[in-house]
Amino acid sequence: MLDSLLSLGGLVLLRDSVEWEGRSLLKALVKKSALCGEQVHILGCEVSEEEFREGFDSDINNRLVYHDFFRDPLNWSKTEEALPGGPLGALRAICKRTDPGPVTIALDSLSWLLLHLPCTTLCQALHAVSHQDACPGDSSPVGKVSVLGLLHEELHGPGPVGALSSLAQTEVTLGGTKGQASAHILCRRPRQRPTDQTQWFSILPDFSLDLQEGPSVESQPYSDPHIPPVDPTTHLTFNLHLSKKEREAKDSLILPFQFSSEKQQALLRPRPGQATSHIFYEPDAYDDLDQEDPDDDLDI
Amino acid sequence: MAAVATCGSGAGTTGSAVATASKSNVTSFQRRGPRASGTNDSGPRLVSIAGTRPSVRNGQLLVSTGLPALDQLLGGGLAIGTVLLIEEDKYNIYSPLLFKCFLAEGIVNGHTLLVASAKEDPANILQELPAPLLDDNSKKEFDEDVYNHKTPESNIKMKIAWRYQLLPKMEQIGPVSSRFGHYYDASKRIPQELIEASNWHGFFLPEKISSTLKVEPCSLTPGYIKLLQFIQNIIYEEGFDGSNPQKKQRNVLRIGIQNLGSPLWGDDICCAENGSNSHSLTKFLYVLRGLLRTSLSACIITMPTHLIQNKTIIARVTNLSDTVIGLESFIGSERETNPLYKDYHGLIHIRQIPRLNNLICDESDVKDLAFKLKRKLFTIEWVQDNYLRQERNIYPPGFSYLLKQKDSAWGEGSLQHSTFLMSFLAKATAFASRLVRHSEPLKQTGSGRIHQAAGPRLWHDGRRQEAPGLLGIPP
Repeated sequence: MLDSLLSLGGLVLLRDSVEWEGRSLLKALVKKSALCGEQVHILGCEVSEEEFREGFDSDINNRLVYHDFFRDPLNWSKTEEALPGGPLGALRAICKRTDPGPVTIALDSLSWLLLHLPCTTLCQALHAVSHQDACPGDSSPVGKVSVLGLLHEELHGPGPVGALSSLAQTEVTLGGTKGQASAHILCRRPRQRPTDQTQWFSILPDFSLDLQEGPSVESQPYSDPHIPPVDPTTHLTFNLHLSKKEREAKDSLILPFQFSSEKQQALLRPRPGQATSHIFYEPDAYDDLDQEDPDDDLDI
Repeated sequence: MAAVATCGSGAGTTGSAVATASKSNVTSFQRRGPRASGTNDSGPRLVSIAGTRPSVRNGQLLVSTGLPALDQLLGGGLAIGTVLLIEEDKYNIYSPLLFKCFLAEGIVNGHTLLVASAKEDPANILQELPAPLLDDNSKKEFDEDVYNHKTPESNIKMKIAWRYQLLPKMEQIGPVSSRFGHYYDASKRIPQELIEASNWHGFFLPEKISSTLKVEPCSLTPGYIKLLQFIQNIIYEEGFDGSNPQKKQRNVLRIGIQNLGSPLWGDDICCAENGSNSHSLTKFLYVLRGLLRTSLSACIITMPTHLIQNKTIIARVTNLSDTVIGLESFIGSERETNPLYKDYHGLIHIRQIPRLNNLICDESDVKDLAFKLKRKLFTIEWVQDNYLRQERNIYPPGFSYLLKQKDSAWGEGSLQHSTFLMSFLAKATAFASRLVRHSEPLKQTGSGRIHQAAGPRLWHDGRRQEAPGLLGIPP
């Protein structure tokens, strides 16, 4: 599933943390889409271009279109090759391209963009970019756009992270145990239940993705035998269980309010000699069976 | 008439003149002649607009929300001039369905629609509306769909609590008036000709607002300002507020706003706890309610409240809306594995019902409502229906009240449950032997006390002898 992340399109959020970094996964996915022949645009904001291109062979490096916002983020040098509008302007310029074909945009990183731009503007821009193929009426059919965003979870509060994950089509959270990295992939399809899956993987030195099985079961710390749940019926002074004979007796018992067919017949069948209904009453020990009407004493 | 004449003479000559004038007619009240329906009279007669009906409780004009079960829970329907706020579930799967049922109901009844969204194009939203079940054939397969899932349980007839089978179910599948409240098939799309025959207006935020990076410091976000202006224009131009006299029959405007408060509308309450525009949403709701109260319109808003960081904003938003419903889906939560909820997809919480021209509101006393989305149907049921159907034990009414409490320590299998049941049974068997002789039903209250119905054991030593409560110590 990890290798088919980009086929769904939309925004793919890579959430990493200090222990499990995500840039290598980002580079692996970028390499994969470059090898598939898609157009790849990179918005580099957090690391320098040389550092990002390190590890890629020249074939892939030639296919990547790199927009550098690391060296001069505020455009102080005022050179012509700086794109107007900053990173968002670059995003919109990529969207306005005329040639069809699938495009992958890698944002390195979304955390940098969140810290420099208002969150709402970023969300609106990402939504406009990733949903461009859904709008009809265009003269030229625009290909599928995938946006890969690297988000460092610890830098942001729950607000921006929640807002971005509600926009994202796929969310990959990196984690792992004991040297093995895992990716928890949550895939939200528009009107269906979200599916989630955990995939163990490792990145090889040439940034290709190696999918693996999980670590061996014995080494997992949570596989202890369960403490059996407390049985509340053990130390009671009365017996709550029913033996087989008792259960049969219980099932065959006719309950007083049970509306069985015999009772129905008994009610429907007219009793001989009785036209009115009857009240059956057995006097209690406390009852006073005085036949006198207490209202007789009243003098009106 | 003679009495009038004598009073009139006492008051003066004018009084007697009136009295003599009124003598010629039998009565001064004249009956209005029967008018043809459809004429625009502003008289005391109720204007009948298609798809609306007056509430039986307070006379408010109601429209259907698109789900007859939800109408029943809200006291008949949604009142015109009010806002229905739906708090979205976490993955936004079920709230769009309620939104679309509301809009589809508007199309079926011929109301005008106004759809506003920042996420999807309103034309696309309208294409995905569910198809109404109008003819009898589809009604039959609807009934089968509902009853099919009930047959395995209904074969096990309830032996002890059989009186609960006489309680009405939540869904009134019986005769549904064809003019109010329709059923929708969630798996089919609405026919294209119905959409084309309807009158609708769309508001898609990315088109209406130019993409500028700077955000003007203003009390309302520009997106909200534009939406309010749009709604106001439509209300004014099409005469929903009575300003332009409508030549045709009066109609209702149904407004649907999707994902209000999300960052796509330019509002940062989901991103930050104390943003710069934290009053933007509340001001929007206030102005919107003012627009709605002065026009023949009803509004549905879905809001991702689980993303809002500042909880006081949620409380303010709830107060500013009229009817508030929360959806909580079980996906990803631990309730998914709870056997009590195994047939359901989520819970519905009715958080607020308005008091319109009333001192009290129509709060239903059923608190545990759950919904499920079958392939075709969206049904809302009381969770205890499921529980009673299984009928594992004899539950006194007070005990089931304890079970209904959320996160109750009295759950099944707990120690409190078993000891209580045993002690109750010990008392109840002695008790039940006396009650057998009275064949009148007992009124059972929620606290567990069984009040005896009127019986011959009254007036013993001057006071009514009551049955001892279950939790009380008998003297």
